[in-house]
Amino acid sequence: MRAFLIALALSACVPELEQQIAPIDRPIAIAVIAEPAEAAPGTSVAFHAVIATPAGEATAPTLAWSYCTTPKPPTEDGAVAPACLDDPGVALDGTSADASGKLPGKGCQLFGPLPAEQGARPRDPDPTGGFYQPLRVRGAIDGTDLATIGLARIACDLANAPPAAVADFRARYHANLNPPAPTLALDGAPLDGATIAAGATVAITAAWPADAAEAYVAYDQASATVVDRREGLRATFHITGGAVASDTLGFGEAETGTAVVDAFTAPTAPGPITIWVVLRDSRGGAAVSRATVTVE
Amino acid sequence: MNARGILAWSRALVILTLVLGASIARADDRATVVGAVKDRTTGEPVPGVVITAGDQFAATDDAGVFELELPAGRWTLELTAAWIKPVKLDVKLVRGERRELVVPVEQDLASTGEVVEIVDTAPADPGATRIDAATARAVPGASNDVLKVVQAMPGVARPPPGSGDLVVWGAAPEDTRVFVDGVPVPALYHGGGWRATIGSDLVDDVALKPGGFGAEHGAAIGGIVEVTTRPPPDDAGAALAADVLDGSAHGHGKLGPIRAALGGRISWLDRAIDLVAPRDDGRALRDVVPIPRWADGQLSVRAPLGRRDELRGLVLGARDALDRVVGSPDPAAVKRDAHDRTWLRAALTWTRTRDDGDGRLTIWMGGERDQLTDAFGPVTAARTRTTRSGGLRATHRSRLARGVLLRLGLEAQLDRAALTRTGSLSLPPREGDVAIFGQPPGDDVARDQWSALTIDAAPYAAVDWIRGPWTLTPGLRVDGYVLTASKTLPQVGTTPPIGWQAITIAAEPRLSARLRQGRTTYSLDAGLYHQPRAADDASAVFGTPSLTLERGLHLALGARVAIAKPVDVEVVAYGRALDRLVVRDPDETPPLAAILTQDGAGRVLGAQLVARLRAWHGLSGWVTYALSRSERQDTTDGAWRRYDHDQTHALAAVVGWERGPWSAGGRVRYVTGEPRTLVVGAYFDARAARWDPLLGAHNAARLPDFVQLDVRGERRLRLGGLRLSLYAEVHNATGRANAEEFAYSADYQTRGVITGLPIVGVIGARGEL
Repeated sequence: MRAFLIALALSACVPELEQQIAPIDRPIAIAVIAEPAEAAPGTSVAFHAVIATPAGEATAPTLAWSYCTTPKPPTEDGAVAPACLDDPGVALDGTSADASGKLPGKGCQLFGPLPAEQGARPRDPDPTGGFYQPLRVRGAIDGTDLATIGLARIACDLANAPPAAVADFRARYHANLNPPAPTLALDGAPLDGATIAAGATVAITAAWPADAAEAYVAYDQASATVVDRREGLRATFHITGGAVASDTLGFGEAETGTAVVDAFTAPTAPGPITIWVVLRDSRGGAAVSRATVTVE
Repeated sequence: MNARGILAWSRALVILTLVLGASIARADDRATVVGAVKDRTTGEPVPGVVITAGDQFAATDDAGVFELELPAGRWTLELTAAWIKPVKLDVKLVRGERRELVVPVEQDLASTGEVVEIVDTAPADPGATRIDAATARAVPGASNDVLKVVQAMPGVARPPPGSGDLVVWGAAPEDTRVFVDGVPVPALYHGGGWRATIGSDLVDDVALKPGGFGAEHGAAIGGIVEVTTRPPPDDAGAALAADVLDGSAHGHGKLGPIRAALGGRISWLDRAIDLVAPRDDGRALRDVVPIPRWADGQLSVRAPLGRRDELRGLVLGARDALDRVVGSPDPAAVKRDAHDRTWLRAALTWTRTRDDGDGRLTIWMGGERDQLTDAFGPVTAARTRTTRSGGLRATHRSRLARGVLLRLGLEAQLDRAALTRTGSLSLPPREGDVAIFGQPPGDDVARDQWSALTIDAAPYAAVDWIRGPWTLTPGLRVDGYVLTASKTLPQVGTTPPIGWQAITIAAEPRLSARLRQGRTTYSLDAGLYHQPRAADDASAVFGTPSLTLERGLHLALGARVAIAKPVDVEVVAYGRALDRLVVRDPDETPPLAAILTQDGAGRVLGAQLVARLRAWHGLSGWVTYALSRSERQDTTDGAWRRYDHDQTHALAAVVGWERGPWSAGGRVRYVTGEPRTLVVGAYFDARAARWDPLLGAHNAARLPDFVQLDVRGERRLRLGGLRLSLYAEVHNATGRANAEEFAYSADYQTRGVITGLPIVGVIGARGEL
């Protein structure tokens, strides 16, 4: 199958299908921000969902929040097991854009490196060495069903590592922090409140401070040691009108950068446009900035 | 017994096997002709006819049956008796072949020296197809590559575009083994399936046995592909060939008593595209799209040993490479593919010819290094596998009584693989995994380093019992496997790993029956087959170290009718029952070091009809239609689903025409679209900023049907001592937009189809001195 998919890129004609997630043509929870961004199971965590709609950000949505308790099969390509969208779960406190609740106590067994039961295979970490407690955000907004999965990074001990590496990891690892909200600018001026000519293409900048990409340590399975890493950062643009050249720009862990510039083409019809930029770090932290521009 | 002990034991077993193999070494570099001589008018058997081939002769018995063992090659059989009109038959015999003939004669007539052609050459295995190099080279769509014809043979599913996979009679590609002169090779085709790994000038013929094969082959629950190389000829010569894909050279000569042939090929498709494709931002097209590169080489040496023995040496090597980087401003969307595979085989074959029997012993060794990297953003899947292999094949045949032949043989093989793998468990995907085009792999990453040893020593025996119109061939093969894995559990720190080993005996009865009734030959073939787990699956992290053997039961019923002199029709109904298949454990929390199980099962039912036209007024070709259903069950009591490459209907017609220096041909194919799993919904993953699909019933939908016409023309010239041929092919001559895959929008709300290229032209030239 792999060879087949590779070959398609050489020998095939790919249909024109929308490959961006930037356009907001229906309500979407574009970000679920946890505070703190990383916590141990049993710790209370507050969540905030950013609901983008074609008319702008939903300010008072009615949402159902719950932690999913269905583990993900090891070979599932999606973020969670499909059953995670419908399992009974553990409800959080809150029915609006904000909710809170204690992370399930068995998070490191169900979604982490500890075996869920005697003799079971532990979960594998993500490329940053992290494990995540899934939570679902569901609701009906403007007649559209919302189905969004958020993932809260959980702090678990290293498993299947030499004692020296475990001790080193405990001593040097710092829980993740959410990055600061990016600063949005148009020609050096704040983007929020700016006016753009209909049909014009402008450069929108999303910037963040240099320390937004945190240094952290992770267990390297090849060398069986704890190694120093640095987060990557990605900025995702969402718009209620017009088009952007790229929906997501950013820097991998091997790169450094404090700003991305995206080309925004305003629609030909005048009116207000809402632009969100979600800044995500590679350990699951997120922050959102929103701006409203007027197209004339 | 610890791992060191197991290794020592294994080495001892191999040495013992080699010694045993050498001591009983005899084999068939010869072929057997079994004929039934019948009265052309009455159909009654004609006893007492003397059949002469060179200095060999035999006579028909009371049933009109004769049998001759002859060295492979072209022979003229002369049938004489005082009461028949003499007959001459021209036959070409392939090493190890058992050729069955029905020869009609006219009784009580004066000699006229008539030459008749073979009326019935029923193959030894049902549904088996053997095609000589010259015929194969002219098949449209094969781009002058002899071995590409295998993909067009009856019983072979249409491979996905750019794939060299062989799906025969509904079996998985890895279930079918490829042999070159009895030596197993890792791959028949280079990466992407553009070319075969063996140069066409070295190939004498190729045979596909899609199932129900005899006791001489094992360790495969699918089919067998046998490539027979051409012995280096006595004269000197050279050939050069080139087309848009690659160039090749082949030469042969004689040094004293030693005859040798040397060939090689190197691709230039990537460089050719550079010349015609514009650069994008300074990058060549081949940096963006995966254009494979390949090279291969072959050396064949033949030396006489005394008056009747011969030594053959064969060296085969191939390399494939592919690199591609798809850049993106989003670091999570940067894709990188790299594949580098090199393999080598060296074999020595001793052919012994004596009055009391002939023997053949092949000893071979080789290696393979396969490096694969698939990176999707920060998720990198990488696997390196280094395999050292060796083995032998020895066969002996003797006549126990009139019409009773005993065939004994031994096949042994050792593979020691060392592997390192990192990344997602779902990349690369296995059969049964649902891979949605463009969907990133799971971002759970793991790592393991392990080794696996596979030893298979298999003595076998078969008896050909021939009585009148009946030929029965019961056989038994006993495979003794030694399987080891270096770790039973994932390694923690520097804790020494504990290995795993198993010794398994697999007895495999086989049965073949033939009944000749006039122009029709009925056949029944059945057998039990096993194959060892792949070394890749013996990981304690990515697989299960304690996997053993997969099993298959084959049954095939066939009838072959010689309708007229140039036309025969064959019908074969077949079934396969597979169990103990290695599949993923679907449990959300599978056991430690057991993410794969042997709970999988498969069932294949099908029938194929083949009509062949042989050399009639310059026309030749075949039409084949296959109706099949291949299903898999992933858990013991789970639901059956369609196999990933299940193709219900497959219709193909190949026709070639030749007149003087011109030849032309066409091939048309109709194939049911492959099964696919549809996306029925999606949810937004707020951490990764992407939509993830929700899937419908597994393989419940299909791609649209595939229809394609390929045409070919060739002109041969002679310029002094140079024989030149120029050819041109047009693939998909009608420009039909065949769907090759489903694609989705980013939110999976819209589905489209990816189509293959509308028309592809290939031109090439070949010169021979």
